[in-house]
Amino acid sequence: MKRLDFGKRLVNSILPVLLAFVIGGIVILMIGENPLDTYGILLGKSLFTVKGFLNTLHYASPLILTGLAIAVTFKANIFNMGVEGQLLLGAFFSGIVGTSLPASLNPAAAQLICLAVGVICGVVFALVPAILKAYCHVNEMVVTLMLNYAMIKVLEFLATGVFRDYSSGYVCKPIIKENAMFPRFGNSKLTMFFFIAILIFIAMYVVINKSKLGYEITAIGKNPEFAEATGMKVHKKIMIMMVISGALSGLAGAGYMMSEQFKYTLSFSGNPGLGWDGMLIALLGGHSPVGILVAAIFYSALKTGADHINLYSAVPKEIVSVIQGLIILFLAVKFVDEHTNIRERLFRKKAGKPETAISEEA
Amino acid sequence: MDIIGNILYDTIYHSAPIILCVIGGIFAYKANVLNIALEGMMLIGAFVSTLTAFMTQNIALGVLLAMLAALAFGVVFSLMGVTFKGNVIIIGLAINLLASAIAKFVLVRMNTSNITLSFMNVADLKLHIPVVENIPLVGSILSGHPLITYISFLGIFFMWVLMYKTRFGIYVRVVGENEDAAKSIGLKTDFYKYAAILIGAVCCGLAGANLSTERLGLFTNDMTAGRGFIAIAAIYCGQGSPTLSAIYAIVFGLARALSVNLSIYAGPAAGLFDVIPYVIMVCVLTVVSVLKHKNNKIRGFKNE
Amino acid sequence: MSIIKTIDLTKKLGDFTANDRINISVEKQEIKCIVGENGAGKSTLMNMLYGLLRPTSGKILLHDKETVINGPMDAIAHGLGMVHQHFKLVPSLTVYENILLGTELKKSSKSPIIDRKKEIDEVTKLIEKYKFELNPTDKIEDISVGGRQRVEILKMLYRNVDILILDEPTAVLTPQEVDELFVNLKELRAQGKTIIVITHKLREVMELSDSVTVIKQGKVVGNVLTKDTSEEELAQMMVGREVVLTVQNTAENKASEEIAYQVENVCTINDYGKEVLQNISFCVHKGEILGVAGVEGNGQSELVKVLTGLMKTTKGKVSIYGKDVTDKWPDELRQNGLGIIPEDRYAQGLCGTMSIADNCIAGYHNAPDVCKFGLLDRKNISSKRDRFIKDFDIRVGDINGNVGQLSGGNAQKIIIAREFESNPKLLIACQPTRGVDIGSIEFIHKQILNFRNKGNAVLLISSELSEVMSLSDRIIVMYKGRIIGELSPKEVSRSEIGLLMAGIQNNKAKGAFL
Repeated sequence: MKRLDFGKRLVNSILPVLLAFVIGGIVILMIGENPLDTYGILLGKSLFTVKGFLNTLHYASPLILTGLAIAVTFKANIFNMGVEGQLLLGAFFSGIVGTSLPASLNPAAAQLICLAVGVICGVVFALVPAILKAYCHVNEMVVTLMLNYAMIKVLEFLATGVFRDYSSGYVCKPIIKENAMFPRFGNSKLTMFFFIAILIFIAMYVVINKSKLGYEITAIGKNPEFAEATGMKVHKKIMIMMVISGALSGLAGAGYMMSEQFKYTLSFSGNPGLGWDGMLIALLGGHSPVGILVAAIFYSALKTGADHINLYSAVPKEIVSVIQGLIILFLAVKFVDEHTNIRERLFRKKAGKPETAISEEA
Repeated sequence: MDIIGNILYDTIYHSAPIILCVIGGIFAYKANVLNIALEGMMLIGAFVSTLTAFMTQNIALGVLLAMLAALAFGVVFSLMGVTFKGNVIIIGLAINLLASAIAKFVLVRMNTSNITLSFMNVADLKLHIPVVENIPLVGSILSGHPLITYISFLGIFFMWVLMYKTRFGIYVRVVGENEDAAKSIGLKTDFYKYAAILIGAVCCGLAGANLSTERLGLFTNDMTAGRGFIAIAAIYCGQGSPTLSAIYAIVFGLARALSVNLSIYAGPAAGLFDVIPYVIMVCVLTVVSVLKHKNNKIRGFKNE
Repeated sequence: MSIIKTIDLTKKLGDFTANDRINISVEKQEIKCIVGENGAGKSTLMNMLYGLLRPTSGKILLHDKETVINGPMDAIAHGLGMVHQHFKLVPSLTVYENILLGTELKKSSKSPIIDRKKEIDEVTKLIEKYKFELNPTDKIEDISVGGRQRVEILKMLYRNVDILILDEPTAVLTPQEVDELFVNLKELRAQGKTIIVITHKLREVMELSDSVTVIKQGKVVGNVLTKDTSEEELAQMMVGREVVLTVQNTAENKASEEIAYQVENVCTINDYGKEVLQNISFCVHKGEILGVAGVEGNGQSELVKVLTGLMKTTKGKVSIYGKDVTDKWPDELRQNGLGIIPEDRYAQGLCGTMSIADNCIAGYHNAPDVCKFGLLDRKNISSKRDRFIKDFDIRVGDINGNVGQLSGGNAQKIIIAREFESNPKLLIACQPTRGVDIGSIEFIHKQILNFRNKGNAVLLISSELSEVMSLSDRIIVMYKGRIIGELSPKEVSRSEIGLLMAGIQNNKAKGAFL
């Protein structure tokens, strides 16, 4: 029974990926390129060379965190779409602190301070929709989306005005001090940040699978009325979940700042942005921490591979965004579940009667 | 005096695409399908209309194809969400990402960061209403808008009739409120859900064409900038009533008009004015929600 | 000549035979009652007649012609209409819109616009023809349950059905509404309609019907004319033995003077600001079961929500053994010694998609034996589950499966095991035996009485009057959000309580009958 469930979950995760790749392949064919070659470049270098794989792990670090940040709320059916904004805010202010710290400060202390600033910013920004949801019943999804746009505009304003580094040719903030940067290991890009992400992953694994809070999150997601009636004080749990989510997002932003970007630019988080990537990863991983870890590494391989595509083939790397959208689209449908499969669902209408109307007596 | 006139003109100008999204989106709302893909549908409409106009120099064809492209997205949404019973929130997000990814992909292939329609002048697309035009102030506010802007305002009335005065509207509401009741009178509930979603898609396509081709003669990626979500917020606040929801859309248009017109006086802080519409929408949502739950003594939350 | 007849109608649901070779026949212009216990197979039979279920074998004859019914629309086309227990109405639409749903009248055959005036006229005529009491322009959400039922009936009549099936039509009605319904149904019979009523309330059968068919465990066990039978005889056929409620509150009233639970002047409002609880005051003594009777929808749900921490009061005070617990949250209430058997098992009591073990700790997941430093002790939880299953004789198919797979009785036993585990001093039991098989009902009733006999207090809310009467030491009756009377079950008859349930405080008033 258990093994069957696991198999079905695996199929539900892998099939959408395959489908998306097939459609992406058709698009590549249409622009006159060879999809197999393209996919070979995409995954080969990022997964099957040591340096490439270490780089993949490096880029996976913020994705693990944003994936967990999304999963912890989505699992409870709370839709924190603000991960992107929380991440950017955390990154921005950890960057500001990173530039203004005295250069003589102990690196460990400097790094800790920057991370803490990122976490705090993420939490503070997540608290706005959290309070509105918990105490005023305002739909958190619309609010977080709105605030994302607002936050991007605010940061744009700050980056182009107050904090702009005019010595640079384009809009950006000054580079953070060296003591606030995570040093690299060897000739790969891997830094301390990956191990911080792994530590957080372990902590979240325990929280979601072993703790009372994890139990409550599951219950709230499955049946909020039941959760309330059994004394879980759902509004408080919403606050806690959002705080965790915001903290992870802020941490992801700060870590990405300190291990990769070192300065805030208008395209800091890339496109579609680490927060949105986190959503794909959470879905791909089925909201389970281990799944998220695997999905983050896989997705990071896609992203690092995308740069190779640009270098070694004529396919624009934006094909990866298309594939990403397709993966999410197909992930929305459960291709197999415990009782039915897609074929039955398609043909049920013709085959059977509306058996749902069976009396409660049965 | 002038500035008030400008603000009011801009209010209409900026309200139009959101009104279109709103009056299209209310059907899905009433049919109890949460369609957050409005944003993506609008973006693909904006993109396809400009791209078509750019390649064929035919604006009408551009608008038509914009609606068809959005319709295609609507079909994907309904197929995945209604027929395959997927999670509509995730599908909606996927469509939003996909629209942006497709536009970006094509833009990169075209080696450009935006499409500009240099063959035409957007001022030529503005229609001047013969008599109204000459009324002082009112004329300058109501006249001189492009065609789709007028369509959007007329659409409010049209959708009101469709929603409340025809079988179709009643059936959509029945499907949304009590699916059992709909089935008991033999309604094909999936058909009405499809129809509701597709109406929204076509309207969003039109909104997109208005936003890019008709108003600016320009497409840049992600130019919808959350208008689809603002439309959703407006639908929520207006609880799916065509008139009430459209009023909330106009509130956003006003916020946008204020931010555009006042930023002239703001100097370097002008950038911050872009934040106003979003913040206002959050405030409106909060107020509406607080009022709605004023009497609520029941603790806890429902799964939406 | 019978208007509708079944020959060896059988329905198998998996291995379970819900209907076993059913033969019934209904004459034109009669009122036929089909009676049986919950789970006897009445609804399955009706769903087959109405085309919602396809028979496994057997035939349906309409007007002596074999007919295959392919769904509700087809049934209506054959002149067969059904009024379900759960109404299929759209709350935000008006009475006339609901009646004409699917057959709207347009301004002209080409116009897409609906002709409101013509529709209202049409419905007004219909209402007058059958002498119903309804205002066609009221919205469904604003009218009473009885009114909604009349709308459902009219919806069928408008479609010219001549056979009307009603599934448990009186379950949600007040006694007066029941009377009005019966008048309406008899009027319909006079106008040539045939009516089939599914029920398990024998009093109503005797008052309303011309003939009765009794179903037990999927088989027809009796076919009699109402005038030739009695309630006792029907009851025997239904249950297959002498019916006495197996558990009776026989213990002498040992309630002490000490007040365990005190509720004073509690008020609350609904979303529209309407006061749904008005100055509710009562107390429960130690060693006493206080029953709350009333027709459903008179504030009992809200009362339970307020008392179990799911709803806030606007006024008033609640205390447990003298400790103020007004507006406390459910977890705080449980800490203060309250055990809760909630109204809707799968909404508030259990989470159907979570495992049995997870449900066994719900509400008590903070307890030190299952939760240490914020982490759950899975081993202890499993052993707790195993103990519950053994002690309360809970039948589970898959011990690691979800609670949703359990039958109603077994699911309810999980709640009871869980709530009694922490030795509460006070129990609020709401509809404790709804949808539960007879064996479990007996078990649950015994558990509640045992709990009381240990000197604890119980507040029992139930819409089954016989349950309230056989278990309670004292009864209060709720009507329109108020308590309109308190009585002792040993000193009053059902009909006296019935009058109170109908809101009639004057004992001499006539008309209400349960």
